[in-house]
Amino acid sequence: MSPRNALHMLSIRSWYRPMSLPRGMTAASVSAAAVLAAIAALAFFAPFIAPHDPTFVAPTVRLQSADQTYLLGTDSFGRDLLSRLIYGGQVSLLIGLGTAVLATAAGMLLGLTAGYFRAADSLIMRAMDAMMAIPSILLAIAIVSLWGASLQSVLFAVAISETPRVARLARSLTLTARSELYVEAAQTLGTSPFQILWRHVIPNALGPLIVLGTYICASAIILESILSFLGTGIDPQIPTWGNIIAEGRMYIEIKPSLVLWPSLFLTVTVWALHILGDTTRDRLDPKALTRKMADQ
Amino acid sequence: MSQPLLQLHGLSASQRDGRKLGRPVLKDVSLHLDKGETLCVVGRSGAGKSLTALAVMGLMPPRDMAITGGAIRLQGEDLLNANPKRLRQLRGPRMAMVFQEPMTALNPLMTIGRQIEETLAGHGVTARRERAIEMLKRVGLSGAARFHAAFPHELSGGQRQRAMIAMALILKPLLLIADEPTTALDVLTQKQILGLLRELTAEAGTAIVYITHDMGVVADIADRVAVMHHGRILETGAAADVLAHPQCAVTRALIAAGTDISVKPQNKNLSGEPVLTVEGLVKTYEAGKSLRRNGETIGAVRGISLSLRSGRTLGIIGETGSGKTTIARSIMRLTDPDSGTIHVGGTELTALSGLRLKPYRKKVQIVFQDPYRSLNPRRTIGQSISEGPCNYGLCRKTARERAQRLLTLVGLTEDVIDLYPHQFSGGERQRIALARALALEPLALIADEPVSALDMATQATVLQLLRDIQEKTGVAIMLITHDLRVAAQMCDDIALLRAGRIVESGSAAQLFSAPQTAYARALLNALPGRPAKHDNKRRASG
Amino acid sequence: MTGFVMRRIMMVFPVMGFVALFVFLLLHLGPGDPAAIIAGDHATPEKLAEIRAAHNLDQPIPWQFMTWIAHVLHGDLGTSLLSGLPVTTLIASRLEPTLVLAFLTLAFSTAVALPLGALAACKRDGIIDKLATGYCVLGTSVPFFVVAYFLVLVFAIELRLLPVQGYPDAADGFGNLLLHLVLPVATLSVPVIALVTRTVKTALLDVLSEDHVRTARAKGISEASVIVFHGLRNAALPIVTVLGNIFALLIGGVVVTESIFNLPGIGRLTVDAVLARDYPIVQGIILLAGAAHVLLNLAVDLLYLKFDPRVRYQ
Repeated sequence: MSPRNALHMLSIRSWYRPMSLPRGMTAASVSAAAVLAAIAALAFFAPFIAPHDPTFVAPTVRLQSADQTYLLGTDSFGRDLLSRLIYGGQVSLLIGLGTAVLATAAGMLLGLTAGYFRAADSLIMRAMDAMMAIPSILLAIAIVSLWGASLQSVLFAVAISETPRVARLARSLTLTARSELYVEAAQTLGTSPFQILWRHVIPNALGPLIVLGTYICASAIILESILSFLGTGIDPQIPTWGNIIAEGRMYIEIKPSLVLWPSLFLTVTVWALHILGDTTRDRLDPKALTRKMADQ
Repeated sequence: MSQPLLQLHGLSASQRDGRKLGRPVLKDVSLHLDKGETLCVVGRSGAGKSLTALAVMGLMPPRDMAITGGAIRLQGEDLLNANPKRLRQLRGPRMAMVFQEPMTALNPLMTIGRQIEETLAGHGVTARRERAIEMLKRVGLSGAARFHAAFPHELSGGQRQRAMIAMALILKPLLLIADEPTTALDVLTQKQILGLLRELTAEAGTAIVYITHDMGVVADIADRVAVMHHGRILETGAAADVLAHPQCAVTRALIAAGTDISVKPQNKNLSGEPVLTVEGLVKTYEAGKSLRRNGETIGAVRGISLSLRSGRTLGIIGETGSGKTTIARSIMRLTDPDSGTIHVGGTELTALSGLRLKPYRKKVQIVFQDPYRSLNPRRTIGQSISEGPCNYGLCRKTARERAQRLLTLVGLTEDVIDLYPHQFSGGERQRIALARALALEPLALIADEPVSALDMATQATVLQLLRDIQEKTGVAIMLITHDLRVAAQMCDDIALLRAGRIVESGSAAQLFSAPQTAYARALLNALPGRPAKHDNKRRASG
Repeated sequence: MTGFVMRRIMMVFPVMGFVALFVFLLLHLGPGDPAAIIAGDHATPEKLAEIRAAHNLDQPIPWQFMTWIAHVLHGDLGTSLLSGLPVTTLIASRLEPTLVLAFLTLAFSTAVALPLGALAACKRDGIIDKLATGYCVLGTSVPFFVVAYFLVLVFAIELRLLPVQGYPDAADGFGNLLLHLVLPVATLSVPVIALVTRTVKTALLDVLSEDHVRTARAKGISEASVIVFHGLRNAALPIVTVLGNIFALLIGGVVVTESIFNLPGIGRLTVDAVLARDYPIVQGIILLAGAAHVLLNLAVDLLYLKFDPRVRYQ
């Protein structure tokens, strides 16, 4: 199923208990989507939007305050802060989206298998328990530091740490779906296990998984920023919000805006993702889903 | 008598959403109740009965409902304008309530004893433990100290409802509101609980507002009746008058559904060949995997043999947990029986699985109890109905045509084929589920409580449809039900089930006119609204 | 019931086995030669050979795993490549600041979040609920270091009320130590309070919408008793289940916070070890954190058994 179809399915609310959202919630979700769209557009068209080369070092203009040339001022190397922020979004969004896609795909595969084929269940789930037990930040820094700091290894590290959450949700959704009467009905109609998965289980599990994907996108962005901030992430030559903050912190007493601006970008992005996830979740099924998500 | 105990005057209420008022749910409801009287409030689900009760108790969910007018007076005291503290003082000693579902209505993490004592503590009564145990004895829970320390899940449904009654009556309230207290229980337990309520309230002079949808119960206990429909009181009067001379159609329909036992006329088709034969079927569940009651595993089947003939209907009757559904699930191979054989058209099925089973799956089809859960909400009904034929190699176009034909057969129209399940009512969904089962042209159809999730009026039409279809197609039907009235209307043969064994079987006519076993007689007697032929003195707890 | 407990306890072993396997494979399945990773950037071939011999890297991988596990089971997590000290000693010497930090955070967060969540649930859609909901979303969206620098800017730099960083010896004055811990604890608490508040609110709302609460109200007992004995008491178990999530959150927070505020704890040790490529320390910390997490989850499940009669019954 194409993502567009999946989103279309999410928008059809009527399968679920009809619920009118509080007015503020819809406004919040619209503004969150707008914020995300804006940040995505900035990152995608960075070469056309950014006023300066984000890596151009100009020692004569170190730590400039905001003026007409440098709208947000410059950092300790004389690089334009605004341009760095715009380019920094690329890494965050790439890691966020990439992780969401990779972790959801891998987690779904593992979770569906565990939930539907009992023989594989305990092996897969014990492995997932073990991966959940290792705090994701430790796992991620260990992988990146041992395997070398590159975009791929950061992506891999973050995706690996997020996969077990998806697997658990996918498994529990599969188990729920398996016990649904309409799945039993399909069995009595002679539908094969794979057809049941495809026709009955996956479509009903997709909504919650997409919601979880939004949260995963958010936590991947945070995780990446922590890696960058600690200096254990992507090559510091590439601007990311995390390493802009890390470099700016030395000058926090002189020029706090070097920390505040990237913090704002980062927080607003993650906040928007959370709002989007929350509103979508409340739309799908207000109560049961909250509980299931809370278990993850 | 100067003033009635309870008086509702022009009570109106609406749904609310924030500050906006929505659909009205109670319209100008006026009732009165004298001391010691029993008033039955009758109506279909959604008629506003429970809401009226909650309004009296001051327990309407304030976020979802708002009272828009009228007055409620208890002994002349205005309840709608009473402050919360005063309402709390009244709940318990003056008015109390027993709820429908005793499992969820009791706190699962608190012992029965503590929950009862809490009522006493809230009203400053001392010697609480003694009084709680005394009350447990009076509601017939022998070995009261043991029940005092028990948690709700350790009790059976009937025992829980007794505990609920103990909790409600411990302060000898003047008014007891009972909201369908026996709907979740089987007929025998229902009869005991009704007896208990009558006995205890008569002693203390407690007046009862009894909410039910079952006119049989009304005939048994009511002094007066009020019939509700769509939030309005349609008629009210002395029970005997209303039952004998109902004024409006709704009342007549409720009476017809609740008190008649009409036995199906003799089926001419005596020589139908056996299409489905079950022999020595055993299925027990591991301890710990299912609920247990008195050491017996619920839902187990211990050696069942039966045979289903084409063109005839076999009724499997039994209480909750007697193993009826396990039989159906074993035949459908949704669960694997421990031992026994299942023959369909001459082939033994229990040894087959996977692809080898597939050719036989289509010969027996099932309609499940819950029409809201048995259709995939994301597939159109056309897709659902043609799923079976497509699995057996029919091309989509032909399968769709067959689905259209079946939709007309079950009394719907062809043009609904591309709609989704949520666009249909419960009764219509059950018709769709039936069409889906028939799409494979089965020899036998298992109907597992096909109407118990539907309201009375819809029940009748779905049952009629089942009879018509049997006449047209000659399919053999196995009807699983707990409802003797449904069984009487539908079945040619009956197998009466108890704790996983068949206690009586034979033709329906015989079972209903001359039952052979004591259990069958007890069941028939326990049917509400029938004059007792054989008085049953047995009073087991639970 | 004992069978259930035993089964649950036995489950710890396969999970721990997988944790150990993952930790081991981190080094061995990655691209590149483990010996080169250990040796650092400019290693001579002789040096590499020496490392291979010292770490059994020339043995088959399963054998290496077995030897490593045997050492771990004997309490030997290896020695630091930089300082040559045993990893266990290093970790033990850094535990105190981290534990103090974690304990203070938990105590403070619970003290704030429990009443806040309960109030938000009881007065739904009221002003407190709206503020709490907004805070919960924001609190979980702000990365630790953003909170940290915000607090530093306001309280240490602008207002000059609190020290910027450091972990003085408790012997030099307990008050001074506490003063240094205010900002780190506050930093960690912002997301933890958000998580706990949200959990308390959801759990309590769930319970309060159950039928038995209506029964309790019908008994005429006070609303406070209803909330405490039927609401919070029943909500306690679902609230306890997020302990595992809080643990994971705290670990992440500790790593960041200790680096920012220069506290000599486990988090600081981790970052220093990663930057210095001292991989035995990293391995040891991950293994111990995983074990702690597994045991915590076990404790939560056993708590469930103890306090939920429905589970006990099965």
